[in-house]
Amino acid sequence: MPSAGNKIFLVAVVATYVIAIALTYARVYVLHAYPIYYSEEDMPGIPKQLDTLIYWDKTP
Amino acid sequence: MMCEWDTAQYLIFSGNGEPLIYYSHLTSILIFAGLLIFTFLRLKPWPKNSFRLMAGAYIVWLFSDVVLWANESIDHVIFFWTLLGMVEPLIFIGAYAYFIQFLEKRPISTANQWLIFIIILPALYFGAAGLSVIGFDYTTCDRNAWEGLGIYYGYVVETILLLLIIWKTIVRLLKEKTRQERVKIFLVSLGTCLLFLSFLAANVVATITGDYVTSQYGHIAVPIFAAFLTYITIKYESFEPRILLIDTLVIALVILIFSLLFAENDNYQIYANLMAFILVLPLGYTLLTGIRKEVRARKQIEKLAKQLEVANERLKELDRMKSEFLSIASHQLRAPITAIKGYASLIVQGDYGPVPNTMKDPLERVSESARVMASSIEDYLNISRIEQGSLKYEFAPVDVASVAQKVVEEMRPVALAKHLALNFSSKDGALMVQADFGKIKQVFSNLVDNAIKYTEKGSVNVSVEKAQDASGKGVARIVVEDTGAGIPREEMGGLFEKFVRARGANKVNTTGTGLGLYVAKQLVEGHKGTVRIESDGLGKGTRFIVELPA
Repeated sequence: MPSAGNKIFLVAVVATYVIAIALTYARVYVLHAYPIYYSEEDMPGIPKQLDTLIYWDKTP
Repeated sequence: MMCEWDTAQYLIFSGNGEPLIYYSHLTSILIFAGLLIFTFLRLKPWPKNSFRLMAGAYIVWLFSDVVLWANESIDHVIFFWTLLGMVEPLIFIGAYAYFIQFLEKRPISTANQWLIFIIILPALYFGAAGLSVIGFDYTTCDRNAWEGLGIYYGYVVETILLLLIIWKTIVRLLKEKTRQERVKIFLVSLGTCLLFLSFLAANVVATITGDYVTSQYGHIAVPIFAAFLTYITIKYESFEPRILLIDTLVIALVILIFSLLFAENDNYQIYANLMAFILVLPLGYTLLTGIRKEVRARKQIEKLAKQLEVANERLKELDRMKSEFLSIASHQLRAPITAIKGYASLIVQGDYGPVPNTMKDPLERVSESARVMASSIEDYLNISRIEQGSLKYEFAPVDVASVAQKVVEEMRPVALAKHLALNFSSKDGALMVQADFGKIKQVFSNLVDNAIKYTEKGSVNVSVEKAQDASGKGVARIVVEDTGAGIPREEMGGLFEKFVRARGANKVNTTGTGLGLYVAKQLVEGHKGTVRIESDGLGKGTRFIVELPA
C-alpha cells in the first residue's frame, strides 16, 4: 500500500502535469501564442493566412 | 504560397510522415502497452510503479511523436512537440528509479521523490511558457519546430541520470562479493544504459542535425533493450518465467481467435471461430489460474520450509538451554535433599536421642518424600545428561541379582506402607554382567518404584534369571511384575517416551512425572540391553522385562 507521503507526491506530480499541459493547451489552441518563422520573400503575405499572434520574418 | 500537406485522420494517419515511423513507433507502443499490462498480472513484488511510469510516459511520447510526423496542423505540431519535452524526463526518471529499486531492493525515499519532482518542474515550466518549442518553422515545408531551452534541459537531466547509473553500477560492482550478484547488476545496468543511450542518442542527433528520419532507428532499439531489461529482471528477480510464457500464450491465442471473428465472411467459419473463442476463454483462464496456484503453492512451500528450518534451529537451541538449566537446577537441588533424607533417617533411627512415637510417623513421611524427590532429581539429571550426550558409564562386573535384591530391600518400607508384598527371587544365584552399578540400580529402582506406585493391592515380584534373547544370546533377565492397574496394549509403545504416562495414571498416582521409564530405557540401552512391557490388559497387572547382555 502506498504511504501518505507517496500519495502526496503522486498527487503533486499529476496536478503539476495537468496544470502545465492545460496551460500549454490554452497557449497553443486558444491563444495561438507561439511564433511562426517564415520568409516574406518566399511566402509573401503568409501571416494573414496563419492562425497565430506572432510572426517572425526570417527573410535573409 | 502555402505549404501543401495531407490532412491527417485520427491525428496520426496521413501521407506526411515517413512509413518507418509507423513501424518503429506503433510497434514500440504495442510492446510497452503489453509490458504495462503485465505489470498488473505479476505475482512477485518488483519496481512496478517505476516501470509503469517509464512505460506510460514512453507510450505518450511515442504517440505524440507520431502526431508530429503525421499531422498537418501547426497547433498540433506545437502542442505535441511541447508535450514530448514534458514527458521525456519522466521516461528517464522512471527507468532510473526502476534501476535503483532493482539495485537497492527498496523503494525510492521520500526525499529523493521530491528531488525528482524538483527536477521535473523546470521541464514543465519551460513547456508551458513556450521555451521548449520556441516556434514553428515555416521557412521550409518540413513542419519542423524550433527547439529551445526546455528540450536542452531535458537532455542535461537525461545525461546526468545516465552518468549516475554508471557511477552507481561501478560502486556496487566493487562492493559486491558474489559473482552471480555482480553479473546480475552488470546485466541490468547494461540494459538500462543501452535503453538510455539509444533513446538519448536518437533525440540529440535529431536536434543537432535536424535529421529526424535517421534518428528514428534509435527508437527501434528502445523496445529491444526494454525487452532485454525486462528479461533480465524476470530472470534474476525470480519471477516465474513459466507464468509469463503461459500468460503471453493464452492472451495471444485469445486475441488471435477474437480477431479471426472479424476476418471471416463465411458464416459457418465465423460460427466455428466463435465456438473456439468461447472454448478458449474458460480453458485459458483455468490454465492460467492453475499454473499460478501451483507456482504460488511451490513458493509458499519453499518459504515455509525455510521458516521451519529457522524454527528448528531455534528449538534445538532452546532444548540445549533447557537441558543446561535442568542440569544446573538439579545439581543445586540434589545436595539439600540428600541432607534432608540423611538427617531424617538418622533421627528416626535414634542417632540423635530417643524419638517420641508421635514424631516417628511425620519423620518417616519426611524421609520418604525426600527419597521420592531425590529419585525425581536423579531422573532429571540423567535426562539432561542424556540429551547433552554427556552421560558417562563406568562399566565393571556387577552382580545384577544382588543389585535387584538391594533395591527390593530399600523399597520394601514403601511397599509395606501400601500393604503390598514385595518379593525377590533369583533362580541362578549371582548373575554377573558388565554394567555401571549406579545406573543399573537406578533402572531397577525406577521399575520397582513404578510398580509400587501403580499397584493398589496384591504384590510386586522381582525375579532374576539367566535366559536367552530372541537371537539365542545369553542374557540376564530381570522381571518386575505387579498385580496393579495394567496397561492397554495400544498405550504400551508410548510409555517409554519422555513425559508420557498411561491414560488414567493420575487417578492411581498423582506424583508421577512420566520420566522414570524413559530414563530406565535410556540407561538400559546404554548397557546395550533391552526393556519391554507386557500386560494382559487393564486391571491385570504389568510385567517389565529387562534383558542385559550376560
